[in-house]
Amino acid sequence: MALLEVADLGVRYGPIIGTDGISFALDDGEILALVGSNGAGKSSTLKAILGMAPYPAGAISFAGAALRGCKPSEIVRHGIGYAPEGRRVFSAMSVSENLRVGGFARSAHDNAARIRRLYDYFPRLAERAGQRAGSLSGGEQQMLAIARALMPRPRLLLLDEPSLGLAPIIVERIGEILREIQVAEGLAVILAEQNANWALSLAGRAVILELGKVAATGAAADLLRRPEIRRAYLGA
Amino acid sequence: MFTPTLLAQVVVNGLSLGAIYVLVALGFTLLFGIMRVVNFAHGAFAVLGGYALYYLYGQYRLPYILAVPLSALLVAVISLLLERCVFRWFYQKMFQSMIGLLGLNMALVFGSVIIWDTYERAIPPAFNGMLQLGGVILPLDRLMVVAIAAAILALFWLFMSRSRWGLAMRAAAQDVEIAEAQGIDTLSTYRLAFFIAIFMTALAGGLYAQIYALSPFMGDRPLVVAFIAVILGGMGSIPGAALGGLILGFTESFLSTFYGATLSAFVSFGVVILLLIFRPWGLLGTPE
Ligand SMILES: Nc1ncnc2c1ncn2[C@@H]1O[C@H](COP(=O)(O)OP(=O)(O)O)[C@@H](O)[C@H]1O
Ligand SMILES: [Mg+2]
Repeated sequence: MALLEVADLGVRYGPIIGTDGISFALDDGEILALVGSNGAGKSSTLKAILGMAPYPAGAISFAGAALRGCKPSEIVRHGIGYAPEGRRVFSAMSVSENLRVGGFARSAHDNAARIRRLYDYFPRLAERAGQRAGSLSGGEQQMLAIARALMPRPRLLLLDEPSLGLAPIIVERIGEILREIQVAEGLAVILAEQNANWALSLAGRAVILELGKVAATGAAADLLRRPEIRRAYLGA
Repeated sequence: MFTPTLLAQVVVNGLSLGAIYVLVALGFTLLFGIMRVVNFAHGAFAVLGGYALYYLYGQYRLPYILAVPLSALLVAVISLLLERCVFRWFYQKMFQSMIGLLGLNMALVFGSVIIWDTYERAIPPAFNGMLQLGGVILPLDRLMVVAIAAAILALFWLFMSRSRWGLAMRAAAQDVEIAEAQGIDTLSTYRLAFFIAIFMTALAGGLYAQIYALSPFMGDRPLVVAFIAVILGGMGSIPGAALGGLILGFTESFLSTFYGATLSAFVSFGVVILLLIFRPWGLLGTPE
C-alpha cells in the first residue's frame, strides 16, 4: 500500500479552482517532484494534504487513514512535515526556538536530541543557533524551514518551492542535504517546484501540473528525456 | 516640597499604579497580538476581579495572599464561558471585535449595576502600617501591590519565554497558520491566551479596587490607560505594553501629586497623540 494516496483532488477557494482532479500516490522513502508553472496548483495540493485548503472533491489518505476533516495540527501528528512557500520562519524567534516550535508535539528531551541531529545535517544552523531567524540569509531561512518541519521525524516532508529566490549554489547544497536526510531517515518527500530541472534531478518520479490538472507523470529520468517535456518545462 | 519621603511615595505610588496598568495592558496586548481582538470589555473584567476580591477577602475573610490570586482565577475560569459564547466569534476579526466587545462591556457593566448597584464599596487594606527605611516612610499596602504585581509579571515572563505553551503563543502571534501547521492547535492556544489575559486583568482589578474604590464603573480608567499604554508601547508588543504601563503609572503619580489629576490625564493623552504623529507604530512596536 502506498504511503500517501491523493485521489481526484479538487481544491476550491470559493468559486476559484485550485486543483481540478489531481491523482497520484507516493511510497515510503520516495522523492516525488510536483512540477508546474505559477498557478498550476502545486501549493494548493500540498495545502490540501495538510488540511490547510478545502477540497470539496476527492480524497487523501496517509498510511491508510483518511485525512479529510482533520485540522493541520492533527495531520502533522500523523507524520507529515511542511515547509511552506516563502519559508515563513518565525522571524522574531531564535533559530533554536523555531526548531522547538517544530517539535511542539514532542517532549523537551526528544527535541534536544533531534535538534542536535538536525544541526549535523545543517551545520550552518548550528552556527546561528541563538540568532534571530529574521536576521538569517534566504538560504539559511530555507534550511531552517526544512529543519523545523523535520523536527517531529515525519515520514513525509512537503516542500513548497524551496529553491525560490536562492542562488544556484545554495539550491544545490539544499538538494545534497535533502538526499542525505532521505537516505538516512527513509523520508518520503514531495517537492513542489517551478525549477523543474533541479526538482527532476532529485526526484525518482514526477507529476507535472498544468492549470490544476495532471499534464504528465512518470519516472523523472524518462520525463527528462521526452522532447515535448524538455521544451515546455525545462527551457531546452 | 521635594522631601525624600514625598519623593519616595511618588515613586512607590507610581510603581504600584504602573504595575497595575502593566497587568491590564499585557492582557489587552495579548488578546490583540494573538487573536487580533480589541477587547473593549477589558475594564469590565477588572471590575469582576474587584468584586471577586471584595467577596473572598473583604466578606469571607480569606487570607489576603490567597484571596488575590484566587479571585483572579475565579473570574478567569468563569470567563471561559464568555470565550466560548462571545470572544470565539471575533478571533481574527479586528473591527467586528471592537463593536461586539463594546457591547459585551455594556452588558457586563450594567449587569454589575443590577447585581451590585452603583454605590462604591471599599476593600479593606491588607496592611495598615508604614515601612520606615532610613529617613523615608512608605505605605506597606502599596508595597504589597508592587510585590504581588512583580511576582505575577515575573511568572508571566518566565512562562512566555521558557515554557512550551509560551513558545506556542509567541508562534501563533507571529503566524497562526504556520503555527498550526507545526502541530500547535490554534483554538487551544487562543483559549489559553484568553485565560491568562483575563487572569492578569482581574488580578489588577482587585488591586486597583483596593487602592481606590470598587464600583461597576471602576473599569473605565484601567481600560483607557491600558489602551493608551498599548498604543504607546506598540500594538501587540509585550515589552511595549510593560513599558507603556510603567510610563503612564509614573506620569500619573508624579503629575497628580504635584499638579493635580486633570493635568496628569491631559499630559498622558497629549504625549500619546504626539507620539502617534511622529512614531505611529509606538515605542517598541514595528512599522507595518
Ligand atoms: N488563498 C487563495 N484564494 C484564492 N485563490 C487561490 C488561493 N490560493 C491559490 N489560489 C488560486 O489557485 C490556483 C492555484 O494556485 P497555487 O496552488 O498557489 O499554484 P502554484 O503553487 O502552483 O503556483 C491559482 O489560480 C491561484 O490564483
Ligand atoms: Mg505555489
